[in-house]
Amino acid sequence: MKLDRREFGKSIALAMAGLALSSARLSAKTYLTVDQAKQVLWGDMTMEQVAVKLTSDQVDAIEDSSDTNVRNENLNVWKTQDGGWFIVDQVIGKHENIDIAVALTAEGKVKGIEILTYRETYGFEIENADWRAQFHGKDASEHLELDEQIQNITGATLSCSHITDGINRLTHTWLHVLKTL
Amino acid sequence: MNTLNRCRPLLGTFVEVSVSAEASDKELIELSNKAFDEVNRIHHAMSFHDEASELSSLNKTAHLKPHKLSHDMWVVLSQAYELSALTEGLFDVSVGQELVAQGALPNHLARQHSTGTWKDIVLEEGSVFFKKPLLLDLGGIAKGYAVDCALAKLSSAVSALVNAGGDLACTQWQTTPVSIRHPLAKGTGISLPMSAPAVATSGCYFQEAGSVMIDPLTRTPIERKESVSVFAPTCMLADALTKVAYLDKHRGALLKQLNAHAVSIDEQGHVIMGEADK
Repeated sequence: MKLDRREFGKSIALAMAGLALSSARLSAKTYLTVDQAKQVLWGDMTMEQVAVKLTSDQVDAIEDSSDTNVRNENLNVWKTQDGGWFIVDQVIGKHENIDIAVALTAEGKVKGIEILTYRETYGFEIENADWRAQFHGKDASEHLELDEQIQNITGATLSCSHITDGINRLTHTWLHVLKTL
Repeated sequence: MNTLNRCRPLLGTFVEVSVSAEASDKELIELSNKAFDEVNRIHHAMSFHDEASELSSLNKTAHLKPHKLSHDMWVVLSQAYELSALTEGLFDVSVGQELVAQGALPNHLARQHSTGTWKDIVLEEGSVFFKKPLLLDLGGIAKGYAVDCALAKLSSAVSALVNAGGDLACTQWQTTPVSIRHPLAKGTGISLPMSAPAVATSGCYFQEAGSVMIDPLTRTPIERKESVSVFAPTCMLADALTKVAYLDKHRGALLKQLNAHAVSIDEQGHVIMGEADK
């Protein structure tokens, strides 16, 4: 299932218009595209996208064993030729919203993690599920470019601890769902 | 010209590597992998948390007999010692014991409190010896050194940048702006031109569990609202000097002597240049 590119562009334009109107302070930085992340994590390994929608039982099982919240039951996953997985996911922290790409081996071990997009939000809570949903199911070659001007940031160290929660959720998603696919 | 920007969760923070060169994506990926590997390698050698690290090994035994050092550890400890001497102890990597007492670092050596300082560190012929039991914490200076080493791995690129949670160094610094986080108004930044190849920032903000910076002279935690950034020729030096500038605003002359300078951002977001720049 691929989002029509024009539809996608329109939804982003709407999202940006919404941002401009709010008093949100938001900085965003984009790194790899989905295609580049595939190359970084899996090289030339062939892989195929697999449509997975979690059942409510599976959501419960993942939430119970990983002690995290499953926010989206539709997974963006690709299975590699050797049984491993390439997963594009989103981690939502208190003040940040991060798109990540994760490679899991055929044994469910984390092979690598790459940040695709990092958005910081302060004074603006992303409560609207529709707004969030727009960032899922992106075309593999698209970046979200909310603000290309944000460059190199120095400051007290940011914690990446919620990335750990996201990875936990994904390894348990593998255990309960992907392992047998 | 092709550019690749990567970011990975490492060292408990986010590490960014950017490379531009006349090369394919694949070549840039390989090049950037070398930089990430270098950050990892140095982190593992200098981690206080990791009981198997070179640092933990010398913290365990260097007070009993001289401990042979790797080249990296020799470089970092020599620089740390030199800065301790230049600042009469305002910079001191022996505050590990206070950080353990505060709960900011793990107490895996189950060591009783020691009264040693940087003056008890003896560096000779590639080895270190402690005159008293010490717990060294290389924290930021090791992170800065890892950034320097990672950037050195990217020398074949036309331009390159490494940023480990705010410890940043780049090749094209003359044309690179840097955004310094506002200490209190989270999510906003203050943009300045880079005025040296490297920059680092110290501040107690984002530390919700309390200050994790120790004043080496009083051996107590410090808490201040502003942040201090230091621009310097190397990231190791920049990170170390943020601690010095944070503790004592009147060190402009020393910073100048080391070709560095400080910029402070106060609670209101005002930019205060270091004394030597006035």
